[in-house]
Order: sequence, then structure tokens, then C-alpha cells
Amino acid sequence: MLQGPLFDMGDCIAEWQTGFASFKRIVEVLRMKTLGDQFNARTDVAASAYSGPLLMVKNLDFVFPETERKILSNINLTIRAGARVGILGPIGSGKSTLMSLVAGLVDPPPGSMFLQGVDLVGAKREFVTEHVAVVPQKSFLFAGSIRFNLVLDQDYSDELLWKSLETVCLDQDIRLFKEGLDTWIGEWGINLSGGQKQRLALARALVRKKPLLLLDDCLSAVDAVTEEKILSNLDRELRGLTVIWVAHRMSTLKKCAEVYALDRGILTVRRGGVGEDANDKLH
Amino acid sequence: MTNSTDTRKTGKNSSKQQKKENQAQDIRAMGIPDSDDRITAAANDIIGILNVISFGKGVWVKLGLALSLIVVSSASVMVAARILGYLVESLVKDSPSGTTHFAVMFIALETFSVGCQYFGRVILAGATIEIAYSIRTQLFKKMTELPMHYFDTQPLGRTITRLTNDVEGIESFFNGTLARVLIASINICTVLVAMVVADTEFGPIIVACAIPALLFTVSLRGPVRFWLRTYKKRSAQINARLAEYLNGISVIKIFGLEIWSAKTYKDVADAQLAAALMSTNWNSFIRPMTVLLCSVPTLLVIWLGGTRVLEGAMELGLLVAFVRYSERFVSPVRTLAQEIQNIQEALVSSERVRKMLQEPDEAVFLGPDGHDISNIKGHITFDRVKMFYREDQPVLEEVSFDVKPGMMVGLVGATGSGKTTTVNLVPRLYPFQEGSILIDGKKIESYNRTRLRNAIGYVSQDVVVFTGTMRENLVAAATKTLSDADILAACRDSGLIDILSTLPNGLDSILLENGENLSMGERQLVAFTRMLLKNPGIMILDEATANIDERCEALIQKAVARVMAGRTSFVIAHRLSTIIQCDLILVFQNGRIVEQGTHSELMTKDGYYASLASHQIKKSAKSAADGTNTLFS
Repeated sequence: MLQGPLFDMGDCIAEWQTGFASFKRIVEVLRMKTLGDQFNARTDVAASAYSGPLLMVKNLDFVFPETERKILSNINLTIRAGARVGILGPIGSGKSTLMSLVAGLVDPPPGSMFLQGVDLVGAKREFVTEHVAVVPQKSFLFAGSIRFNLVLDQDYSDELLWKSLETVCLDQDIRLFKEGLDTWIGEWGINLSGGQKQRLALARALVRKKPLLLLDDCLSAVDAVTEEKILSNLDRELRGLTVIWVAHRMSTLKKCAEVYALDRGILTVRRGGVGEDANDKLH
Repeated sequence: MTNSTDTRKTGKNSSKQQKKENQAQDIRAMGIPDSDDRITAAANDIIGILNVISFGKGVWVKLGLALSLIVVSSASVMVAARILGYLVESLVKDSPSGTTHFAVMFIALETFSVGCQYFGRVILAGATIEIAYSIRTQLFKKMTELPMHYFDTQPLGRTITRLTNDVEGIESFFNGTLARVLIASINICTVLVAMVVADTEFGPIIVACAIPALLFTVSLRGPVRFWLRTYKKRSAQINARLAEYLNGISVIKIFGLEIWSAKTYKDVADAQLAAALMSTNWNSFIRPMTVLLCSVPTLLVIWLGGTRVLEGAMELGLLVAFVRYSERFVSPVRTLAQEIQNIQEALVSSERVRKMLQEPDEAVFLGPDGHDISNIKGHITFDRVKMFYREDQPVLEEVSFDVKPGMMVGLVGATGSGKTTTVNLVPRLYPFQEGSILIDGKKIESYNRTRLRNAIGYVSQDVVVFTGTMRENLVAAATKTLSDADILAACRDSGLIDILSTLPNGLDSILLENGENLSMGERQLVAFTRMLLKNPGIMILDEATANIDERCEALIQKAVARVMAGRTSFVIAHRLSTIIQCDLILVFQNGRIVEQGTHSELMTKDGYYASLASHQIKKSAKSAADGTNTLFS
């Protein structure tokens, strides 16, 4: 009777050690500072009667804490509702960081970024996600049907889905699939081409109808003819929409009335249509 | 596995539906086996166990030695039990010499047993580690041999579960279960035999009483395994979901999908919890029941044996031995009941591991590997190549072209028209069904695949950057060792030197997984520099320059032009400027080549290419002057 438990005790000591080591690692993760901690403390903002610029960036300096590299320095930018703004810049110029800041993925320094007149540092996360839709450079789709990828946590009618697919010129491709919107993509399903993925990611952002649309060079794998078509569709159908379009080619920014250039973290104005700028060499 | 059906639920109610579906499927599949099924199930179990044991290949000697030591140890404990009986008898008879004699024997046997146990366990642990190591390396090797098709369709999480959890399942079988089950079975047999031998009349009665416990233990392995298998399946799903969500974390954050993703994750986790609870339920039913059934023989020994001793029909020493026997009997049966879960776990794991090991590898998909290892000059001929993934949907049809060594070939056409598929056939990433591909006049199948792929440089839009220094990332594809001077020379050629000079540690700078600390274009430059260092005979650029701004592209174009001199190259590009330079342009439409020739030939021909090209030139004449005009994807 005594022997058994004694043996078990021996086993327990070994398991105890493993258990504690695992427990320590889990606690480490649980104790990490989360975005929730940062945002939950903030108050809701009523953005009712606001008529100023949709997005304002004031004297923004940005350095990632881990590295010494200064990513953005003294950025000033005012974007009115309904504007089409292009940002042009070479590799590593800070474009993507600027986008992450506007999308609320990274906190800007206080008093430097205002969305609907609200300082982003003081705003809840929901406030940002309600106002901004982002199409990232690298499109990510979930394993699921096309409908699933468009709808996600929302509830949209098929009509709305098809409409956004038409805008991005993907409706014809999808009508060719036997199962239409219910075609399974990603793991277990069919592989879309790079361009199709990017267009679907764009449709996902469009169907959400957020006031500010951030396009982070999101049509790089789409052929020029289609790109052109999508651009004019966007222009025609989404008149009230504010668009910030980040690209490294001037040709992509044809439809943008205002164009800025970003280089090594410094933003310079290149206001005016593409026609005047197309032949300018950036460097 | 049939997850595909139960995960393929779509629409807004997907999670609820899926949950219901999961449960329904779990219960449906459980069924009640009829007798025929039981026989095949038993046979399957034996085959399964043999399958698990066959993983021990290579360490048979160690395994045998360890197990025999452990068995010897148990046997000596058994003998010691009988000796204890003699000791009591000699105490009763008051013979001091016999008492000392038996006491010394008892202690010696127990000590011997401990020694055997110790060495047996140490050797067993060593053998187990070797087995787990060999399974892991086998699986990893298999992974590298699997065709692209496997990775296109299998969720990442499932493959990872195979490589981790399932290997651990088999590991614990060898480390504990195997020895425990062996000892328990031997113990049960020896105890039973010992009892029958010790008292021919009394023994069989006790033995008969043990049968219900044994039957009970063996007959309940069905549901235990069923729930275990379900549990494992759900665990794999959790891993798949986790891998997916971690991958798409930026999308989840951008769209504020935190609550939604937590909910869908919870559905999978709930399904796993339900399966875990069911399997625990069965165990908590089986274990106490076994203990209860096992106590019947002990009870009988004391009751019947006690009466007989009092009647003088049985010696007290024999009764003591019998009590010790029945105690010895209870614990192995209990062990068996517990181990049944572990055995089932090992069976399920081994099934899954074996399934992955038996997946058809490239040799099945692409035919046997060739032996030709001659240098490849780069004369590539496609002759009426037809290719499909699904028979009713051909991806390529009647694709024919001839590329002389050193030619630069441009592939144009709309998204999904077959350009990428065509270039993927050159390194033999996928099989083709009809027609033939010749390289330097010899069938592509005759070449050694590794050799062929080593001769091809491939740069696509998605650059693979792994955690490590810049140097490690650059030399990853190289086939020979390179000095820092070589690397820096290539960096100067590609223009990467500009970025390198801004990094604090130069070549020793640490790059993060997926190149998180590099911009898209910087990653592209890394890929190009890698290719310059690899120095391949055939180059494939698949939309490689899509994310590079004009400044870098000019640098890269120069570098690429340098490597491409004398080498065959395939270019899928957007820029009209890139396409114009090509010696041969292949125009794709719906999986067929509709036109081919040089830019000027095709323009004179005034066909599909000409219409699209002139449309582009007209549309943005000014941008064309800048070289930024784009054509097709």
C-alpha cells in the first residue's frame, strides 16, 4: 500500500517540474502588455458634428523603440473628407510605418495624429476600426469560402458582395467558379493567383464602407488593364470616400489629385495631377 | 481524414453549423460494433500495435535488452513473494536457520530486482529517444520529398501536429507504455500460473474470478480510442486555426476582428474540450470499475482461504502467498486498464504518422527521379504540353515553344492564364499530363531533380526570409562556400549594398522571420542578391519586380542583365519596358499560347498583344516615357 504512492510521488516530482516550467512560460505571455490594456482605459468619442479635415498629422516624429533608425520625421499632412491622396516613396522610406500609424496598429506620439479631430492616442480601437479600412501590401485570406472572406464578422447581402466584387473586377472570375461565392479558397481549397487575392482583399475593405480607405500598394500583382479599370470604378462609385494610396510608382497614382513623396522619413508635397509629375525623376 | 467535409461549412452561421456537424459526426462515427466488426477491430488493433512497435526498428537490441531486464526484475519480485511465504512458514514452524536463509534470499532478490529495473529503464529511455529522433527525422525528410500539391492542400497546423504531438504520442508508448504493458501481461500470466500450480483446487477458482476484470478492460478499448482519435483530430484543427490566425494577425487587427476570431477559435476549442471530456469520462468509469472487479479475487482468497486455514486444510504460508499473489494481480490489471488509453493514443498517433510517411511523394507524382547530372546549357523546348490539377479544368493546353540557350523569354497574359504554371513546370514543381518538355534535347524526366533545380534560379513576389543574419540569408541558396568579399561583391551588383550600409551590423544584422524588419523591396533585393550568389543556368523571375521602386529597379535590371547574359531566363513582368527587351514573348490566354515572337514581330502582327500594348502606350503616353508603363500581370 505504501509502495505505490511512493512511486507516484517520484513521478510527481518530475511532472511538477515540467508543469512549473510550462506555467512560467504561459504567465510570461499573459503578463505581456496588450493592446486591450492600452485602449480599454480610453473613453468613447462622439464624432457627431465634426466638419474639419478627416485626418490631420502634425509634426509627427517616429522611431521604433527597438531600433535606433528614425522612420518618420516631422510629418505634416491634412486630408479632407473625399480627398484622393497619393503617397509615393522608395523602399524603406517609411510608407508602411505611416500606414500602420493611421490604421491604429502602432501608437503615434500624443498630439500628432487626429482622426475626425480626435487624437488617436486617446481614441478607442473601435473608433479607428470604424473609420478606417486598410488593404495591406501583402493580402491575407482566411481558409474558407469567398463569401466567408468578404463577410467575416459582418452580415452583408449577396447583392452588396457582388457589387464590391464588380468594383474590383473580380466578379467575372468568380462567376466562372462552379460554386460562385461559396468556392473554397486557401487551405483545402483552390489557389487564387496573386492578383486575384489582392483584388479580393480590396473588395473586403470596400464592402465595409469605412470613410477612410488605406491602400498600401495593394494592386501590385494586378495587370495594368484591370488596374486601370478598378481605378476608374473606384473613382466613379465611391465619390464620398477618402482614399490614401501608397505606391512606389507614379502610374498607380493617376487618380490622385494630391501626391506626396516620402523619402527617408521626410514628406514633401508634390501637389497636382500625375501629368505634371510623371516625367519627374524621383532621385 | 475527412475534416474537409466538416470544416467546409460556410456562411455566417458557419461556426454554429460546424459545431453541430462536429458533434453529429462524432456520435455517428462512434456506432455500436457488431461481432464481425469486433473481430476485425481486434485484428486491426494487433496490426496497429505491431505497426507502432515497428517504429523501434534499428534499436531492437537495446529495446530487447531493456525489456528483458525489466521483465527479469519483475520475475524476481514474483519469486520473492513466494519466498516471503516460505519465510512466514518457517517463522510459524520456529526454525531459525530457515528464517535467516529465506530472509537473506528475499532481500537479495529484491535488491537484484531494483538493479535490473534501474539499468532496464536507463537503456529503455535511451532507445526511446533514438526512436523519437528517427521518427522526427523521417517525417522531416518526408516533408521535403512531398510534392507541392500536398502543401497546396494541407493546412499547415496539421503537418505541425504530426511533427510534434504525434511523435510525442509514440515516444511515450516506447518510454512507458510498452514496458508497463509487457510487465503487466507477464505478471498477470505468472500470477495466474503460480496460483494454479500452488493449489490445484483453490487456484483455478481464483483465476476464474479474475476473468471478468480482464474482459472488462479489453472490451472497452473501442470507445476510448474513438474519443481519443476525435480529440487528436480537434487538436490538429486548433493548431491549423492558430497557425492561420497568427499568419493573418494584421488583418484581424486592422478590421477589428478580435472578438470574431476569438469566437471562431472558441468553436474549435469547444469541440476539442467536448472530446477531451468524453475520453476522460470513459477513463474515470473504467478505472474504478477495474479496481472493483480486481478486488473480487482478493476477497475470495481471504474468505475461502481463511476458512480453509482455520479448517486446517491449507497452510498459513500458502494463504500469505495467495494474498500477495492477488495483490500482485490487481495492480497489473489496473495498469492495463490505464495503459489502454496510452496504447490507443499511440495507435492513433502512429496511424497519423504512418499516413504522412505513406503520402505519395514526388517520385509518385513526378515519376522516378532521373540520373542525368550533366551541366544544363538551357535549351528548353515545350512540345504540346497539357497540364491540369483537376481533369475537367485544364490549366495548360497545347503549349509549345522553343527557347535557345541564353534567350530572355517574356511571359504575358491576364491573371490565371497559365504563365506561372508554365514556369513552374521547368523546375518540375508539378507534373504535366501530355506532351513533352526537353532540356538540351533530353527529356526533362531524365534529369536528376535536385540537380535540375540547383541549375534554376527562382525569384517570385513572395521572398522567403528566415530568422538569421543577412549573411546566412544571402548564402542560403548557394551551392558552394562563399567569402564575405564574394557576398559584398554581389551586394554591390544588386544594389543591396545601399541598404546594407544603413544597417548597424552590416552582414551580421539579424533579419526577422518573413523579413518583418525589411520592406517589400528590400526583401526583393535580398532575393536577387541570393540569385547572383547562386549563379544558376536558368533564371525565372515571377512578377519579381512588382514591388520595387524605379530607383532600385534600375539597379536590379542592371544586375539581372549581367546574370542573364548567356543564361536562359523566363520573366513574368508588368513593365512594358521589361517585356520589350525579351528575345521571345509568349502571350497566354486561357492556358494557351495565342501569339509568340519578339515585340516588333508581335506589333507588326497586330493581334492580341499589339492591341493591349498599344492600348497601354496610348493610355498613358507620358508614363511610358518614364518607363513606368505596365502591360499585363
